[in-house]
Amino acid sequence: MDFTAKAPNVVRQGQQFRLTYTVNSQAGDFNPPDLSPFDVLAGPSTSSSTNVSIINGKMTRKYRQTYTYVLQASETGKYTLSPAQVEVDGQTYQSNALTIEVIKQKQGSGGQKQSSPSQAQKGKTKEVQAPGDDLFVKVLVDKDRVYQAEPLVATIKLYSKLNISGLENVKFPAFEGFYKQEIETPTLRQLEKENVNGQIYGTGILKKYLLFPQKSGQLTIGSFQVDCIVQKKVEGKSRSIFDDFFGSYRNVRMSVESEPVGVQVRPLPSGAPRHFSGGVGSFQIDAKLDKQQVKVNEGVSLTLEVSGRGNLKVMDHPSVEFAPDLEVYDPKVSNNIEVSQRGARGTKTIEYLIIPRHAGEYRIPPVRMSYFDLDQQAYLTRQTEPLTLQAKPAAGDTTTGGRRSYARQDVSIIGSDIRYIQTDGFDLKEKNTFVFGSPGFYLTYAGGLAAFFVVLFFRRRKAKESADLALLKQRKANKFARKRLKAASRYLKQDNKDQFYEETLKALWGYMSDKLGIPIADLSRDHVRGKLQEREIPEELISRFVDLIDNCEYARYAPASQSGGMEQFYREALSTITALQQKLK
Amino acid sequence: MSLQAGARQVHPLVDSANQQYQNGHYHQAIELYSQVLAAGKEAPGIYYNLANAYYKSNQLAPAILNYERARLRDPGNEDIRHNLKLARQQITDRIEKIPEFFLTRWFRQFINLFSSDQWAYISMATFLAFLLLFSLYLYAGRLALKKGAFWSSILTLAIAVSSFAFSLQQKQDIVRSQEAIVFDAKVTVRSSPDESGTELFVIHEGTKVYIEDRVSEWYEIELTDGSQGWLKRQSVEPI
Repeated sequence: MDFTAKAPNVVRQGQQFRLTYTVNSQAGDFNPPDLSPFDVLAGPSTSSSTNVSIINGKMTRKYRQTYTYVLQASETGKYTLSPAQVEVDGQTYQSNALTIEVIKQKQGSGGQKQSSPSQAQKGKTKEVQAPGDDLFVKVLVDKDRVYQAEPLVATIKLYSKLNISGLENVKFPAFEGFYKQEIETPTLRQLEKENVNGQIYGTGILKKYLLFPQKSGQLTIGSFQVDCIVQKKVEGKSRSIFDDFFGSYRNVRMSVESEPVGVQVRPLPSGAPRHFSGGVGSFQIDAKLDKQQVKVNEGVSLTLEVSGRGNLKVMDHPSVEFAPDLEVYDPKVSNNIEVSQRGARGTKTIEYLIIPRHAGEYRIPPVRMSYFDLDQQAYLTRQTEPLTLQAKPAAGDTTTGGRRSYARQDVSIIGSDIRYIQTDGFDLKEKNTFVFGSPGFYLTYAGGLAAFFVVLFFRRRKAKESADLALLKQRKANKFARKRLKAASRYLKQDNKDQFYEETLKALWGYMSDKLGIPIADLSRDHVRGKLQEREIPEELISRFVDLIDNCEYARYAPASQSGGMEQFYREALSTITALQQKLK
Repeated sequence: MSLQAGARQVHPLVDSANQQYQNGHYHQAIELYSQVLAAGKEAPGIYYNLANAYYKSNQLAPAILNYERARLRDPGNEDIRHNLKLARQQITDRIEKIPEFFLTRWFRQFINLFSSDQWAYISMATFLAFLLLFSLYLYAGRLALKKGAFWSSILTLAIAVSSFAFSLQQKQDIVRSQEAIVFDAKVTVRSSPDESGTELFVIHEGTKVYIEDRVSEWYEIELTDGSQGWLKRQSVEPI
């Protein structure tokens, strides 16, 4: 059901104009509003039309009923016509309200407003003329101070008092520094009337853009150029009566160019949060998993939906911190954005395909997204609820006993960074000082060696001394033994038996002790025998010595004794020692 | 005594530098570590931390330079090697290394187990041990002990002599370093030490070169792949 009212926006005092109400259905009762500010010259005249079209065998029927008034304004001012009412199938519908501005009549103008496309087109000279005030274009912006990425609407509008039959060579401005999205506008068929500084212009919107400044600073929207084909009345010259009646028109090409428009773009305030995605406007974010529980190796999709108003298309999509052992594919991003006068509004959908490769519970932390809110002039952060994904072991794989069927993985390195600094245990020293080559270093070697040689020297000397002493004793052993025997011989002369044997025994043992280098206390017959055998003394001589000792000890304690025995014993001892002396050199 | 006092003065500087690093103020940390070094003090850890700070502030060439310096002074440190490797991966030039003979490589790796000072201490200790063992050999009564003492003294002497040589080697690597790191973003290497020399190849920031010869303003350098040429002295920084 569609019920619309239509009339020019601006009219001149005394001008006739049409007011039409159109309804797209068979209407019953039509109730016009109060038309009292205007004089009703004719109407309401009713007309209806039916349009039947068959497309692919499907028939659609369009019906239209129009009520037309012809009005004339008598007083200047701005008037509002309240909605008309119409009854269709027992229901009442309302049309839109209209505002009509009536301006003062001007003398010598108003003749241009003849919509007569059927007029003769004579003299098709493509002459370019300066358009002057009667024809111009403008690029209008709704704001000239914006934040970076804050949308603004640029409208390219044509103003004309002339009769335009066509447009050529349209050059739209380069919107440098802007990201632009076109706003749908109805195709320009007829110029609307508009009051511009007290003059009626026919105006038409050629294009409308939603612009998002991409950088800060003074940005300029360049000029818009268009060639208009204008029908101009030829004056003078042929003065036939027909010419006067029909008028003579010719086409004139007029090139018009708009002024460049400056827009001041402020940068976004500093201190953007970490999750700032470049979004400016106001947004909501939502995340959901299509399944909460899956089997291992099955795909799940995580859908992030950013919805709201602002530069949805150019903003980065928020990043999700997936668990590192989830297999995640690059997201599929789709935009569903509606661009209108009020800005861009819609949804950006980011879909991740996730495949859990291991059983277990995976947590998807809240996804954060920050944006700059234009209303509050501040950065806001929105976040989703945390999600959990439960992956169950894949069932039915009997060949591997329920085990996972894919290869084992290495520990995947997620990032690499340098190792941390040393925090303690610094052994600071002077630069370029080394133990090697230092005095202490060499002193250690020198000192060690010196100590070694000192020890060596003393040990040597001591050993030599003791060796010398033994040699001396050995050398003197014979002399010493003879001395002892001499003492024994004195006792022999005194016939002192005890003393004689004792002295002889001492002489024999003492000789052996000195000669062999054995202390007297360690002396025994076997010891002496062994030592002598070592020195390869003939066995006969050894027994002679041992017998001598035996005899001596025996005789010492024997009761019967004679001096003759003593004499013989003395000689025997002397000869044995002499014999040993020769052998023991 | 004065050295002790000096060391204590530097320590707070190191601590505050570490603090700055922990807080992410890498530029201030660089400043403070450099002050420690400017005061004539050094430790492998200081070079290492300084290099980390450079790395974190995206200054690759000084980072590599200081990692190299740290590595020369503490060749066994795993952290230094790891970070140096990571930093090297990010430089522009990928130069194929001439493969070393495996024995040379093993020998090099063995020497790099310890720093010059550590080898010096090992040498001193084993030398003293040698003297003791040799004395034992000289004066031991029992034959088995004598034998054991003799062979172990020979072994310790060998260790003492070789670690003496290693210590010298490691010291020379630092004192007479022939290595340098390219600091300019891009350097053209020429065939002769003047501006008109034929352009041979171009190397980039962070690449290691070996200095072969010096002529006034110029260095003759060799890359790890064996190519040689001349470049201006100020485009590189010796390690």
